[in-house]
Amino acid sequence: MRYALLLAATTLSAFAPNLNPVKWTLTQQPGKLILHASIAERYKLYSLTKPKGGPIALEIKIRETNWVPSIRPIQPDPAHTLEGEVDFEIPLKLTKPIPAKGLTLHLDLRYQSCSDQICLPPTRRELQIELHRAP
Amino acid sequence: MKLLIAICIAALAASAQPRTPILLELFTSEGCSSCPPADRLVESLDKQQPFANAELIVLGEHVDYWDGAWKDRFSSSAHTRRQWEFARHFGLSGVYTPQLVVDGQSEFVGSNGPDAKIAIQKALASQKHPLSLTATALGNKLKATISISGLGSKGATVFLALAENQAESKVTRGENAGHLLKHVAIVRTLQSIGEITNDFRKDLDLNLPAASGGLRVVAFVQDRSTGRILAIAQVKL
Repeated sequence: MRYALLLAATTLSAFAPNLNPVKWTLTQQPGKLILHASIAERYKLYSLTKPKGGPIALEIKIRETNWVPSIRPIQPDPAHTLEGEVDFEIPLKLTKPIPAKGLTLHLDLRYQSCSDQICLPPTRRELQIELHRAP
Repeated sequence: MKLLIAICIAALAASAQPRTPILLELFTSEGCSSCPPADRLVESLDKQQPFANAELIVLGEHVDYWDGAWKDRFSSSAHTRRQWEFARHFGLSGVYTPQLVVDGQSEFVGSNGPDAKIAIQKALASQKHPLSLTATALGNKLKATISISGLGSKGATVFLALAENQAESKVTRGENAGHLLKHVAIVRTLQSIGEITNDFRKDLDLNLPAASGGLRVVAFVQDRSTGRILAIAQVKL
């Protein structure tokens, strides 16, 4: 009986849509930021390389263009859709030294994802990171 | 011979059984690659009416948030807003396609047949209030009368939908490019026509939208606080 109940619960959860299937984290390494996407099982993220038409391609923009005039994120795999764990490298060239109080950078993301059963509308996320002077 | 008569009587009894009307709202889009299987499921439920004691009343509500590469000619921001209202009722953090909402009380992935069966059986357990709907097309005009008495429910809204029976689209862009998509009961207009008081009656004189696939008129009462459908009726023109 317990087995039957577990099976029923498993079957139901398998069909429950995940409405937030991509988790993002932003970390710093020397000279670059690492934007990590953790994409839930059975879901795909439309990548930076996705051609126009249909779901939107991933967009990554930086807000503090006075500190970082432009960014060119590097996608590890040229595929149009990505699954699993993905690191985007964002080389960072600051226009001036980090002030003593530190510097906060904001990334604005816009992306779309689908599973084998559902599709989600375009989603926006804001991420931020504190940069400090090297000791 | 006696057996044949008995079978005929049983069949008549089954067909005479009152059928509970149940509203199935499919939130879909021609720009969504996961949606065609849901369209097929809803088409089959609409045509086959597989539940002996249920009258399945279907509405296809095309949302507009997929109108990027391919503009779905049936999409409307009003359908997207309605889907978000359901998201709030169900405590969801967002919306998705395809989503099927049954009687405003169950929601699930629109292509999931087993979940549809469970939701319809659950809806059958709740009684519906009678709603009288008459509708006649005169040229491009519709004359309709809706009346409900004794519902006594405050905080409920009466809606009227005009839906095209069927339509096809050949999609040329986006992820469904190259596919011929078939839809049923595509909502062309959906409007709130009043709030429920003890006795509700409304005579309407409306313009009919152009619809080559024929039209159906659906009137329903929805509880504003829970989203549940309390009464519903359909007339095919």
